[in-house]
Amino acid sequence: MVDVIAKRPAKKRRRAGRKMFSRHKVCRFCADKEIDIDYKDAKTLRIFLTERCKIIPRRISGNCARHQRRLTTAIKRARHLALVPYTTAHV
Amino acid sequence: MREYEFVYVIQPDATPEREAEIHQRIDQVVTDQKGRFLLRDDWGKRRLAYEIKKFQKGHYFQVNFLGSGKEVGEIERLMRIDADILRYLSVLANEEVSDVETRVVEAAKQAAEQAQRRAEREAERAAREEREKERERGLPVGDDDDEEPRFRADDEDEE
Repeated sequence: MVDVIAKRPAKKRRRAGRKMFSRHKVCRFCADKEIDIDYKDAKTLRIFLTERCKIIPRRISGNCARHQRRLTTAIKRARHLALVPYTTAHV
Repeated sequence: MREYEFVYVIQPDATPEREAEIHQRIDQVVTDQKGRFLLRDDWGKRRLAYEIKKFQKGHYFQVNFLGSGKEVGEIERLMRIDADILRYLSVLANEEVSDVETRVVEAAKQAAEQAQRRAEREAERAAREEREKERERGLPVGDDDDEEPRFRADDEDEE
């Protein structure tokens, strides 16, 4: 059931002559139990921010709901402490 | 008892005495409320991700303690009053620490480890600064010695 629904738009896209991207993404935190989400670890959090410092959505990053939730709180905490920016500097 | 993690950022120009005073005040609250002090970690002066009160840098400290929860409000109140505090954040690190003594011992160990890492970082930074100075002597000096990548991870643990 789920498969059929998932495939349909992809087919349409192919007909339109666009490239099809469908790769199964695995939640990074589930795959690697070693890395834990920590608001103090700005370097890791940066991976999940765009150039504009927006939080990358789950649909792009492939994180599972549970880890995405933890990640967002961690990022927001880090932002408050100025470890990670809210946005790029306005010039 | 619960374990709390409290991070606070002191403005970079504060004197060491002033910093010590702030630390002491926090510890005072913890002991007053019959909490247990666990550890204090000095993250060093870091570049802020954005300007706060016109400061580009801040001196980060982290303190962990065990307590009932009454301490948090009081510490936060003190932080709000203090003009040298740029930011603070309190996080509940562990809902229920049943074995207090073990945690105290563990925290002491953790603190020692952190101190060691800090010393290494410090040494590394000194070496890097030395190298930079070396390079500057060869090259024309830029207009600002603070010129570093915006999101650099200077004071972080980079091996």
